[in-house]
Amino acid sequence: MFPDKFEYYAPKSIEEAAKFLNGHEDAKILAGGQSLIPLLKLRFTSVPEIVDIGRIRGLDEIKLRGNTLEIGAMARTGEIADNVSIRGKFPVLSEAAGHIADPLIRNMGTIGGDLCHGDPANDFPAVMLALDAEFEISSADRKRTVKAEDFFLDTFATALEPGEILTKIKIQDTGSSGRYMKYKKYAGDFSILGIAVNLLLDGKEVKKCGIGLTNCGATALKAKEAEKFLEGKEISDENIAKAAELLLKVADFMDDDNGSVKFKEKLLKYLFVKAVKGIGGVHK
Amino acid sequence: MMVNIKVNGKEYKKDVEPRTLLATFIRDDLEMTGTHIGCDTTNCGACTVLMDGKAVKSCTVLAVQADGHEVETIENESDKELSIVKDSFVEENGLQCGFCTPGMIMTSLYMLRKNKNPSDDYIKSNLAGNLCRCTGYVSIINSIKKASEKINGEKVVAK
Repeated sequence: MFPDKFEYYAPKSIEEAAKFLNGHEDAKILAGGQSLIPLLKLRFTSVPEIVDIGRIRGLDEIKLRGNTLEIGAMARTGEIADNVSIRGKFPVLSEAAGHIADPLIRNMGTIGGDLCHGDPANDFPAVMLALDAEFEISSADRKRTVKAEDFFLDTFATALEPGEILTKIKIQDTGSSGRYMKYKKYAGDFSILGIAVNLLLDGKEVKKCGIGLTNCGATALKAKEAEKFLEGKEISDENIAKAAELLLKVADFMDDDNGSVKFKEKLLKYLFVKAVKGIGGVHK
Repeated sequence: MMVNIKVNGKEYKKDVEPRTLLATFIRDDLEMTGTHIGCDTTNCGACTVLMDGKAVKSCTVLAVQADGHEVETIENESDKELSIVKDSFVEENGLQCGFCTPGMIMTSLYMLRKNKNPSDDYIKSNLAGNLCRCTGYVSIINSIKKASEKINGEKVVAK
């Protein structure tokens, strides 16, 4: 199978890419291509021009600058999964990266592509919501920063406007720790459900809580009520159970091939409890 | 457009359409048909090749993305470790119909370069992108373990 014909353009800098996109509104950005190329091959979509940002130097860098983790949009999922400082300081991110698709796809697929695709079943968006990440976005005439919670709008719809490129993801290290739990049918599959939980603990007390949900609605969701409920409270079975119930308020499930609404509600609560109890420090 | 891709140590300069996939570039333009196309939908891994040393699904990479990069395929006869992996698959019956085998072997080579002493769990998680509908994977895992023993120069111990 082949994609429909397209013009291929491989800029060497963000500025060059942004300049090209400015005059070509229907052009599509190619990052790792692990979602876009299958869509083009299956002819679910076709595009007149492809802008391959894979040749822009430095766009795949992963750096810890002081307390800020900076991940370039072209950083490969496999690099994120294997990165030692991410594993140490942002375990929820490396755990999620290691659950995405399979090792071969992770070698090509990028975090920027995963986020901008806007697929509710992609795993990185929920992690970004749990970690309160910020996204740096460039276009020909401006640069702006968007918070993760303002980025995911709907299925395949993000806050990116025509001509804009996601260039960098920024995450603050607050000394928190987290887990990502994913339930899938078989190795390499998309999430039936996924949940990212990130906690900043002071002894047994939750100082800060971040919860992101994968495939629980039209897009990745931030479980704000459950986050607020847990903040300031002690980690106890009772509080965890109450927070789990609050997750169901934001989740918007439908009966489908993956299971009934009832099954998904039960599964989400189960994965949440497992995630919280699996976070280092919770059992101390 | 013109692409310059090094395949198995040799430079190839070819004029390709941008929509050409790396798998079809290797099979049709270079006439190296060892790389198989199975599902053609990024699931099965029969088309696995190494790009800059990393295992990727060549049906889901554009040839133009590989421009200026180095690719290794199942035909890479100069690679000693690859030969060892191939032999081990034959000795341990790591295949039945053989269609998935080129991909299995390239992924095996990739994981053995990263980890010379892979555990069963390591092998299983690294094979997640390669499907075999014949063997049930047990003989494939045995083949990879045998290859690792040979690469390490250890005596092959019968189970």
